[in-house]
Amino acid sequence: MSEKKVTIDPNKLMVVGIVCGLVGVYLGVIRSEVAGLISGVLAVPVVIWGADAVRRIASYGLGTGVPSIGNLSSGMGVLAALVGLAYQPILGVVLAALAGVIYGVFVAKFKILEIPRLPRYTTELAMAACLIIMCLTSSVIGYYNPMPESGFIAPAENFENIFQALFATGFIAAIFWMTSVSILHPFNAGLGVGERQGRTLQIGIVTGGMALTLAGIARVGYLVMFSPETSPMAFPLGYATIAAGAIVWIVGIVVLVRTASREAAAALWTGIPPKTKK
Amino acid sequence: MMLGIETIILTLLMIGIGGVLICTGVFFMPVGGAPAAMSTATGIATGCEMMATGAGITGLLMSAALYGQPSYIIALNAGISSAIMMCVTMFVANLVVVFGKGVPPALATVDRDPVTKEPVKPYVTPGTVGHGVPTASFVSGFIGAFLGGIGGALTFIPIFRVAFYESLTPSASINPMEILGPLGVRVGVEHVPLFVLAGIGALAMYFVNANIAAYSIRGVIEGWWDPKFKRLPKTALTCFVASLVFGTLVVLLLNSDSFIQVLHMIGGGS
Repeated sequence: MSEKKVTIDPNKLMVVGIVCGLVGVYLGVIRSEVAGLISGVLAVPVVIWGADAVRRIASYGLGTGVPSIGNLSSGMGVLAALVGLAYQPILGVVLAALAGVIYGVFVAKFKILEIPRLPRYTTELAMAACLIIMCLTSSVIGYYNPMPESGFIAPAENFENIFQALFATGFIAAIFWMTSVSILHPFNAGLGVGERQGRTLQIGIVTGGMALTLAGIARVGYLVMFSPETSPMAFPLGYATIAAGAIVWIVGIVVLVRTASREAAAALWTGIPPKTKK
Repeated sequence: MMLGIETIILTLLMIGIGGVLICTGVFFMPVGGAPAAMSTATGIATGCEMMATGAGITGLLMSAALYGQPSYIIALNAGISSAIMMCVTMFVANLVVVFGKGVPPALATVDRDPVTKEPVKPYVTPGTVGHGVPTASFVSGFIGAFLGGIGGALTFIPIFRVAFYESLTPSASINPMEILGPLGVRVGVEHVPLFVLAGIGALAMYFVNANIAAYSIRGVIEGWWDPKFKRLPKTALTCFVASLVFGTLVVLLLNSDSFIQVLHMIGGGS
């Protein structure tokens, strides 16, 4: 089976995804809560990259449905992301890639899933999920400060915040599932005979917006529950994260509906609700 | 501040065995997928992975509820609770299929039911590969959920116990027997995040292993008599390797300075 022609080169998407994700996590060096908002926004391109990776692997037909791939990637990603946040984010990404390669090589070697270039796909999925979780996490805790005090390892206050914001509140479960859904849903909703890369990735924008909104809600929830010592800008920026997410979400939906109705055979009015005369 | 080598080996071994058990459990479950929802295939009407996750989460809930008991009691109870959950699911699915749709449960790959020795082939509607959950599939599903629950508990216990003892002892030297034995220390509200951490870690491991098994059986399996069951050894080996890889990530997290520092902050409060 040959690769279908695509509008956007997957390699370009990968580079954009990795760069956006890493910039999003490492933006915390400016030590301002604006960084949290921006790293949340920068998670959206990573979601689009992840959705494209799911699209490529799932178009071979797995026999278990598309959602399994999303859950697999967020399962791989969350462990690597936690390690990355405890040591240094770049280490987490490298470990995610390494674990993805080993996973893919073994699954391909024992002929469990016979699709071409499987190690590459599992690597991309693990890295994408890892980066999304790290970006959303730094958005929830305000900002992630990666500058080490000495040596290589990021300061421990980060993990203290993460422990309080994600584990004590339980928001990690929401972030985990949202990551999973945001990268599995685009292809799961778009698959079929007339599937097209551009339209699938537009659904990626929608799910990315949803993930960002959720991160904003988790941010506000964390601030209300624990009222940590933060700058007075914390609450407005939390609401700004929700607003940014909602904007991305709505823009994505509008673009998607326009594309879908343009490419559909016909778009007809169902009659409900009835149009009132005059 | 490092974990002892015995603790690391025990943690990895428990996670690895847990992965193999999860994989074996998935192979035993009567997975029907979408065809089973239309009664055109034997099994429960959902994907492998969701079913395994359901059994796993039930096991994890039980493990979290019995955190203070010795490991074998936690593991057995987790298995039993998963098995009960799966049995209720299969029973209700059968009620719907038999009394709602009017279809007799039947197997397509064998002539006689491997458990009751009743002839089952004649009841298969032409053009389908069985319906409902026949007795043998029910027994197979029970075994599968039991193994899956034990696997989930074996992943949960080491993560939680190691993190918990790290929060108590400043030297982070953990006697491996403490991971297996009963928990002699009071667990307070401040330790709730550790349950969340162990739960998320175990859930992630569950997804990784259940997916390998799911790809190996490609959607539909009836039970231990199914031809696809022969793929189990290779798949179990893959799951063991994958569990070790991701178990290493868990050990790296449990061994990191910032994590241990945060744990001391929690443990120091009490």
